[in-house]
Amino acid sequence: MNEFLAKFGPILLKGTLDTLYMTFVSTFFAYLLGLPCGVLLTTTKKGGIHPAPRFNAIFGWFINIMRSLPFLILMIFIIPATRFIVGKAIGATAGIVPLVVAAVPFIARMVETSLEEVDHGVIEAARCMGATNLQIIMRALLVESIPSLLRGLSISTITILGYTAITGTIGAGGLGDIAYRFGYQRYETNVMYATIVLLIVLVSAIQAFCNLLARRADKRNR
Amino acid sequence: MIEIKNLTKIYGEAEKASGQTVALQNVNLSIEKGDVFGIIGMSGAGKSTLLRCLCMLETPTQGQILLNGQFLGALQGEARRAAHRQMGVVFQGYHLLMQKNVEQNIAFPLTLVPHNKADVQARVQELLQLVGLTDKAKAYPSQLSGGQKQRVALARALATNPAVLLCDEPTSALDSLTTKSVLALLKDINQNLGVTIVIITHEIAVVKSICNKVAVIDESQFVEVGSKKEIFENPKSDITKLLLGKGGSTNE
Repeated sequence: MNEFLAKFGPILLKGTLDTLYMTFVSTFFAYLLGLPCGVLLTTTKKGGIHPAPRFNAIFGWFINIMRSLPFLILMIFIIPATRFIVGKAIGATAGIVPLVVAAVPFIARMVETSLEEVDHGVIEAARCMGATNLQIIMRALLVESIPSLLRGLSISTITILGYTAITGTIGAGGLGDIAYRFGYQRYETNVMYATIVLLIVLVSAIQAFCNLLARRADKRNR
Repeated sequence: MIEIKNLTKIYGEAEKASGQTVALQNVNLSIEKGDVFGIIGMSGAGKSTLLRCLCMLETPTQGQILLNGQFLGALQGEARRAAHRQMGVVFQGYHLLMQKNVEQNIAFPLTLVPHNKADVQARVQELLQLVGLTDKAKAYPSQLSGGQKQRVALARALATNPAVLLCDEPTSALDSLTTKSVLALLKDINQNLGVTIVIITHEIAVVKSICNKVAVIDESQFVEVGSKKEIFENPKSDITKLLLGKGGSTNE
């Protein structure tokens, strides 16, 4: 065991840090873009607070097309864009670009689902009190769906964490990359098992943390 | 105060297979300042649509609504929001923000416009006192009973000092004792604050206890409009007799 740690410990530690870095930075940027997209999807829907059915249909299509592309293809397809944005196509930072591009449409749909859960009556009540559309979004829609958005956050983060294994294969590093290189290419199964254990720990921790946040935030069941 | 002129509301589009539903047909009504006006009818008679048109949640298909001589249909943007602040609305389902506490819910309409925090705080305290929930200021809606939630909704609706309070089945989800206390509060609000009240209901007891005028609505039209006394003592239509429990033909 000690021998194993001495040999592979540093690699596994770096892999874990790379994975966490890619996951959290990607999640952050993906929400920065995905949250407004989700709001737009919800509000422009027929019966939404600012109906724009034609825009909504086109935008929905676009989101669906983005979500249909297999991640591996998308990742290779946008390498030129990655190189343009971060200056290189290899390494953890370069891995973030395709992760964000793939996660934005996914998060947009997650956010849409959360916002849909908000009681329509609350929105009408806000409208009757003289709220502007922006006030309805910021102070009723988003506020009322915080617990649901936080639960969505755990799903999104864990999905992105899963995708980091794929970015690993084109040189982004991380635990997935280690599992692939050592386990698949070099038959060092112990290293692969170690990465799997680490991934299980990371996923469980993210899930538990988000659940805790959601429970703390939710004022409904007190 | 409120004039409803030839109001018609039709849901659905003529071209669609689902067809159209006439919710209100050529309705006229005049509500005066200080009235507690009851609009009573069976489910599906069109009374909720009437309220939704009054509070501008629905656009009338035809006809007009005037609030203090102002055509509601013509209002856009800020003028429309200003008109909204002239009307407090109370819903059957309360529609409180579940993630905000009682204080924050009551303060909500006040914080939609540029405001002074201390003024808002003072107004919220005043309203909490009015509805008798001072001790629940920090509670969340999920910790309140139905009657308490409706009191919060009432306080919230009154926050901007509206000229008129529109109530959509305000007591239908409450038990009889709680109903009584909420109705007493409404009466108090009408008499002491001079707020005109419009109550949509299917319960004759609500009309009996606090309204001074009544309109009976059936099949998208008013069948009878008058003072409570006139209508209770001398009901003319079958539907009114039915609602009063005085027989009439039931078709059942």
